[in-house]
Amino acid sequence: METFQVAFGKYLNDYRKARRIPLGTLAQGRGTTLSRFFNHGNNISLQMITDTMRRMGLTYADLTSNFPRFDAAFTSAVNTLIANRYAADERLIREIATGYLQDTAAADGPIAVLNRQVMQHVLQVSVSRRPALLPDGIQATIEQVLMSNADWLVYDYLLLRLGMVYLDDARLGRCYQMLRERMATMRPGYQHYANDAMLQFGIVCLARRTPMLVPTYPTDLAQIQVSGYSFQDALVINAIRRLFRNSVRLKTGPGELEAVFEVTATLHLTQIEGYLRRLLAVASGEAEGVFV
Amino acid sequence: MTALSDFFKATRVARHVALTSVSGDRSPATVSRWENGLIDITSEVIGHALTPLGMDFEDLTIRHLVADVDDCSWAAVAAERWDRTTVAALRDNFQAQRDLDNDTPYTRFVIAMLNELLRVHDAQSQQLSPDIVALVTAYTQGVTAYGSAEGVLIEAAIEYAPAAAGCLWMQPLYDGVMTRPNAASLRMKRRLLAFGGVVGNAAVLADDRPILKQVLGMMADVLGTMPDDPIAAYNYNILLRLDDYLQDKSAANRQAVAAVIKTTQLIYPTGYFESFAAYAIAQDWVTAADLEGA
Repeated sequence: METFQVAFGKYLNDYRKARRIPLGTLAQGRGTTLSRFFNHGNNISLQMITDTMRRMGLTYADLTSNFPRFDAAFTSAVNTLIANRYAADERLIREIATGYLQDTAAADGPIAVLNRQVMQHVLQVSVSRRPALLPDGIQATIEQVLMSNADWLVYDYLLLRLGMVYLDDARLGRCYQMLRERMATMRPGYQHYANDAMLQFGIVCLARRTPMLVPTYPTDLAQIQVSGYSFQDALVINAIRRLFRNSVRLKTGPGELEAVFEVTATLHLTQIEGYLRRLLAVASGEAEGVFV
Repeated sequence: MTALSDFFKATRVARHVALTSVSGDRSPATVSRWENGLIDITSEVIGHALTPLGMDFEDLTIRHLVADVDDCSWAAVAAERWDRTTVAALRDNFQAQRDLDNDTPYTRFVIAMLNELLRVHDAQSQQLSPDIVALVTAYTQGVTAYGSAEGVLIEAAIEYAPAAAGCLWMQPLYDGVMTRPNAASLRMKRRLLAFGGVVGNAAVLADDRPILKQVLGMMADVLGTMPDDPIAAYNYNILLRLDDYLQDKSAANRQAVAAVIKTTQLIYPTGYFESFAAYAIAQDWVTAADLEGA
């Protein structure tokens, strides 16, 4: 596979050519440097890339949409897992986890090691299809990483989001409280990551039949619908809110989700319907399941 | 020191990550010079240096450590958030750039589009001029991914364009996504389906069923490559049911349209259902009675 630098230079050059923008207009007297970056991925200053992109009307936010390799490997892998969660496709989960482990085999440092340990666990659970917590030491490391930064990054929200299903109840509760605290002061750009972690917390509690792990949860969930709505997950948030309506006793009969299932039938959302029916079965103790 | 180098160093230290872990092919001394603001951070940082820190480039944009200019102003171009003063300032800004040293097809396109949208809103004409329709058609051919400014401008323009033109503008994006559907991002697919919703709505209003069929075909193909997405599914299903209704204005088809509209109570924030319902009743697609019990 071509290096990131080469792929990135090629992407920007193709973007330029599609708009018939002369290289000279972008380069501002540094045509050779820019040309070498476009054609060979040679290193250039971040400022020069920023200026070049600005002249073409391309933002870094656009790159995260249009150039998949722009995201960090962990972000990319976890976002893909989240995007496909309703499909519950074990083969896909294994493919994503295996791909991540292969791509980052040489990465060094404590964060890289932790990420590989978590992703290895995702892979193992996916193969066995049985719920299993992470080894205690890894759980402790996750908690430590989340505690060490008062101002969370995308990574922290995603680490919690992915890892919470593998944390014991006590750690899960503590990490959830950290999430609540960080959300009070976070920048708006992190809202959807935080919302997704909050939604996943409810799903994990339902699957474990521990609705009172955090008594404020139903109120918290209602709050994210007001303060920072996640359009793509609104339907599932509504479903989870219905199941938590009585916070003392879970309400997991199929009737609780009658209105939600009317929507899934009308819009042919078979993956979401299957996901919620599996969740109901697990929450009522009729089945076992893992909700990545 | 720069804000970026400060942030980089503070995160590395807080997470107990050694310089050697983030240096990759560079020497730790080079990374140290980045961190202390002695040399420019280079493009390599985007690819690899952030990962060992648990840092993503998105963090840098969320925290405005790398500049994406005018990203707030572009929201003023959308019909529902139209702000003439902001849009005129954007146009003047691009005009100044063009006059200075940035006269490219891109800047010319942006200036022409902003001028046209200002004209459409000032004159309340609801229709793009044929010259601008031709300009967008020519510009979008071969462009398989939009920058955010292009996306905002074209999405705004689609509102005032003939459905057939909108369909033509969608085609390169569709081709780009469907050539390699597994490589296309979910955000790109969602944007395409949102475009489809606007173009399809224009086709319904014009009673242009051949274009509507074409748009529905593209949307179905893209939906088939995505995990379940309630908003995308709504955009597709409402058009599908309206297509049936245009063909046969029976009570059953009207009820089917109403059933799709009712789903917005659970898939959108509070208040959206009321506005969707009011719009559908105004278009005579459903009656208030059809939506009762919702």
